[in-house]
Amino acid sequence: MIVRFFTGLDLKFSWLLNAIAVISSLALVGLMLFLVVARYIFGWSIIGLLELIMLCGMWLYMVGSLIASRKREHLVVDFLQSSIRDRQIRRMHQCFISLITLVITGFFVYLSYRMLAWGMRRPQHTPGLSIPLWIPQSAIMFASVGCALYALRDLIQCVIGYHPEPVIIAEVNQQDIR
Amino acid sequence: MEGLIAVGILLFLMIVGVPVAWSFAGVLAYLTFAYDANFNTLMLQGYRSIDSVILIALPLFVLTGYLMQSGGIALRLVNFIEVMVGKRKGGMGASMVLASGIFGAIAGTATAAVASIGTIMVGPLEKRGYPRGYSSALLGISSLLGILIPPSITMILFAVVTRQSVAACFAASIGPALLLIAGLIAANRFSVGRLFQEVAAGAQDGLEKLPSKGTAAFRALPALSLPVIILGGIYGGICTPTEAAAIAAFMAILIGFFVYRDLTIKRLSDSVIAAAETTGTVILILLFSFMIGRILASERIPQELTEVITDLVQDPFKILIAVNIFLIIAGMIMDDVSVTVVVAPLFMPLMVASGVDPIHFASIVACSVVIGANSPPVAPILYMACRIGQVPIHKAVLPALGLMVFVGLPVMAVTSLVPELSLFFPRLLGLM
Repeated sequence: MIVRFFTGLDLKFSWLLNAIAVISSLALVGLMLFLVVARYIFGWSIIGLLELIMLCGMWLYMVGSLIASRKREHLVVDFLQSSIRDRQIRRMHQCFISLITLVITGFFVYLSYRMLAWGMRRPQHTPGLSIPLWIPQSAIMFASVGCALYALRDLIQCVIGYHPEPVIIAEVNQQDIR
Repeated sequence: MEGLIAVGILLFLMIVGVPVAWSFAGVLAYLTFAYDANFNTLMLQGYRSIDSVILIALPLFVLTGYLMQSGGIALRLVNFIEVMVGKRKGGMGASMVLASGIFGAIAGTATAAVASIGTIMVGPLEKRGYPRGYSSALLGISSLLGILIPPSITMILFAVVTRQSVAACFAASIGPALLLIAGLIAANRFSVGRLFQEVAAGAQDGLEKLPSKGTAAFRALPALSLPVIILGGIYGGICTPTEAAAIAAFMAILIGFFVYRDLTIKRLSDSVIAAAETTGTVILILLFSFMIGRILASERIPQELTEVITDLVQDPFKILIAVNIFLIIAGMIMDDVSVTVVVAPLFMPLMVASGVDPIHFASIVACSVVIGANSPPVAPILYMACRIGQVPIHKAVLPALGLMVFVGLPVMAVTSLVPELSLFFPRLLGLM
């Protein structure tokens, strides 16, 4: 019951992440292209367009890192993992890695929180469109919390033996590209 | 001392298998406490570092690489080159090298080139008598031409972390790239008949099914126009590398949808999501390494490192050799992104003090990444090439080491010792 609930939640969240990634990527391409066309064809210099581009870029970066965390696709130097043959030792190793990752992502959440809290106390805006800086900065907070939650998921799954096998970046990339 | 402990922590975390991004964050945590850094502004500095228009080129070039595969652009390029040179002695191997070079002139990543060119070419190569281990090794090192031939993600990262001109860094690695292409084609030609017997071109390798030279060239024309648009745009002063990246991605979508008609909405969406994932993994490493760099810079660690090394070794030539060896070892135990974003800014003051031009250093770092990405134990690109080639890694290690020793290392040595090789194109293009 609990597993089914979290699986459903994860699928909905995955859909949301993919949607943000697609929208921000296409917006990035479109806005950057518009910048070039506006400059060369219409002779316009549009104030603030780069600020919108950077906003899309920041959300794309952070959502991308969160997608990678969700799929366990972060780059890993895997020669130690792949050399462990014993299933029990491999599982213990995986739990150890998950625990370290959880602690480190907790530090990431703390740093992001301190940045956001500092920014809220001293509000800043972009010069052109007056976009509050907390909007792009909140992408980092969003990613840090998400990555920490996925690290917690990995630890729990490893402890209960739900998903003991590590996923290696190159394999996934290969499948994706194919 | 804290610097050495930080390096120890980084190596420990990476070697035990903590994801590289979190390994960097772990080092950052240590340095934050060791140097009592300001928590309020630390992440803010990291945010400002990645909030860079130049860096936007990264997701756009990565996206272009994925779109080349899903939109059929890579297939037309490979077909064109196979038809042109595939029937000659050693031609199929040379085709792989040249296809990787042209792919690199559009996408700028090695991973997309490995997957795209490998899936198309490893089968036909085997039918022509090329052992899979050899093909995978050749694929691994050829795909790294994407790092040397502009536009290059590695050079974008180098330019961002060392505050150099992206266009100049792009141009710096053209010379070494041409040398690597020539070296790989020559080594492949030498290997044919000595390491394995090449089967003459025939019906079995599928070359007969390919179109004629004229038709293949006509079909490849839209794909071949992409590097012209990108490089012409950047070096013609028409657009910035970031704008060129956006144009390349847009053109890849147009060509995939309307010219080759291989691209579908589903494939586009998959490519965009895969590109976002790849970018996300790189950007976190970059974010944390920027913050580490800020702490190290505020504690004058790169300057102290420079003083220690120049006290020990006065001869700039020996310093250059030592840095080269360090870069190769770092490349063997770290991934390409880590080497670029950590080692480059750390050694930049030393290189400048030794009289090495920063743009020249860019091409040295790029060459070291080429060697490191194919050198075990880490060797991410070689592992990926073996997975694409469906061959055990031990069968590819020996040919890969052979190519590294007889081609990769000499190219790196020439690049390091002959600055003109790296500085010729930036000067020619008026970038320095």
